Amino acid sequence: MDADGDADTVLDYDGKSASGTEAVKVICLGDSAVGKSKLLERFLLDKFKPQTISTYALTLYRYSSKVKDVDVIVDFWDTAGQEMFQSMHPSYYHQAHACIMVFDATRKITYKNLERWYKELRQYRPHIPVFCAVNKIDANMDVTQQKFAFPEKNGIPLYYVSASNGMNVVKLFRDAVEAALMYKKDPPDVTDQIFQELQRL
Amino acid sequence: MSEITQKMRKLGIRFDPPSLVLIYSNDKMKLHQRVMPVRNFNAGSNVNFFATQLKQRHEEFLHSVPLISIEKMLRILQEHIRGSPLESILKNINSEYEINPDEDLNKLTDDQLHRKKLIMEASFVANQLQPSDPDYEYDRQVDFEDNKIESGWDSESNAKETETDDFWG
Repeated sequence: MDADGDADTVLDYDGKSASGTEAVKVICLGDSAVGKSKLLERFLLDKFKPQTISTYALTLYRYSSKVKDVDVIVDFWDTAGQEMFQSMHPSYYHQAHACIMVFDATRKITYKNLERWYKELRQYRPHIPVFCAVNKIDANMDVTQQKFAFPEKNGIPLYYVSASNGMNVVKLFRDAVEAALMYKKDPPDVTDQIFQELQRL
Repeated sequence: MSEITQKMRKLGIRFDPPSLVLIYSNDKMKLHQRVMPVRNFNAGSNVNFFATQLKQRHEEFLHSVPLISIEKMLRILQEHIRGSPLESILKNINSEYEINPDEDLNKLTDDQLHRKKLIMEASFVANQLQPSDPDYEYDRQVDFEDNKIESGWDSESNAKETETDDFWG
């Protein structure tokens, strides 16, 4: 599939795109230099030129695809150095349908910091599906024999990936896109809200 | 083409006159030395810019030398110009050019982060499988299920973490 070209505008992800195509937003979270951009580039290959939207301090990768025969535009949001601030701008989380959290198989601190990223994410998006990826397994294959408490504790699937040799990268993104679409169709937040309203009555 | 058969053996820096020194071998395994002057370089110079210039000017000799190695030599020269003692220079510059798994890279300046990324890039490129490689597969999947052991990254002190980490407030 070809990219939708102009990614210079931020869509209203709660609705559909101007052309009527379903649009979802998938955000990437994690420390500086864990390889978030490298993973996106490996998934999208060279066909897609990212747009840097300086107003939002982010890099946007717009990807057009078909999921179960339905056309869909996926905007992947990647940080553009915002990690150096204490947190991401709220607009980064706004309307996100799924999140991919990345840590570095060679740097323990990036794993430790996931807790903080996750806490912030859940403040804005309490129910969106989250995926966790340990990247750079090519540089530390030992981690593929290891389990990690953070994803287990939070019920998040963990993917062992390498942006360098491509291991499990495509699976990670495809699963995230599918989950984002499912979330958009049937957001648990809304269901929960209605349920809470009903309980109140 | 002489440049193809050259292999870098050692890279060094000379303080006076400031120059980059390359020891390389040719196809007959004979060692050669090449001294490349570093001009107009001072305490405030951008090492990345100067390293790039040197690499271009001496392309024939430096084409296979990683830019980051040249940068590192220039940083040593720069600290010397600033008057630091050699011992502390070597210690500090080494830590600048290695990845400490416990260092929080979120806290670095753009320049510092860029340097760390360059170092990581070396391992990325070394293991990279590209569409042109015979082993390349776009959707490469490997299942690492069962018999997992604890990573050891969860065991230590959450207490220490909350005490010492002031960055996240």
